[in-house]
Amino acid sequence: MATGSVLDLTTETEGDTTVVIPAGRIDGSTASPFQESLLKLIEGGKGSLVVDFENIEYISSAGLRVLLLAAKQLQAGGRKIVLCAMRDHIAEVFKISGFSEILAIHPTRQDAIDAG
Amino acid sequence: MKTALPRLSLDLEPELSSALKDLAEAVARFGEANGLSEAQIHNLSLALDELATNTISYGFADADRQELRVELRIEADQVVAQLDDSGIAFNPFEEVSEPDLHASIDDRPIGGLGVFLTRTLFPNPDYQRIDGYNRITLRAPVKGDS
Repeated sequence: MATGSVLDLTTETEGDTTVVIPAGRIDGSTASPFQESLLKLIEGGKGSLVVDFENIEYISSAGLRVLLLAAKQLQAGGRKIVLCAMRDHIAEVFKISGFSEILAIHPTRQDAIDAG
Repeated sequence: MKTALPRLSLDLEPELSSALKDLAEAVARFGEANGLSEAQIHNLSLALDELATNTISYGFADADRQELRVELRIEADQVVAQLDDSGIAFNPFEEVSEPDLHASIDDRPIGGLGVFLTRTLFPNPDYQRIDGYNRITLRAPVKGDS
């Protein structure tokens, strides 16, 4: 298992929707570059933001904090954030923290794009 | 058959990126050697990450004394994780308030979740201040791969 503190990030667009696919671990040491990238994408886009968790193996509260900040930013502009493809242990973190009540989480990227 | 590793202790650097990397590797190595389930390895990793991140980010007032040590051990049917640090006296389980889990996106404050996640995954965490060190001990019944 890779446990480095590098977070790779690729993006795609689907109509007005921006899809971001981070890879690796979102923790206290990678959260701030992740935040910077998301806020830049939000600023540069106009539709929904889909964050695909397929390649994310780990998230801590530092990462949840970034997603909440992105959600607030998007909501202020009448837009939304949609998450998808989480591993079970990551979905559990969203559930425990109450984030699965306030953020939309879908099983697949296509479902997330359709909901966006 | 893997060699059993009933006790692992490791000094972490007071730099977030390398501390979190070393911590994650240590927990994975300990967990795998002792046949802990993937979910339990994840939970240990997350809780220790949250506590270590707080200590490194806010706990060290004295730049010349930044000690942080994690110890993992199996005691009877329990897995025990202990974190000792030389930072300012701070009991996160008393001094950090519970987040409102049902607030809306707008009302939900940013932050305050790490301690809550730790306490949810490891109920009844123990805090002691011993000879200038904070000691946090987390325990859970061993859950193996099945």
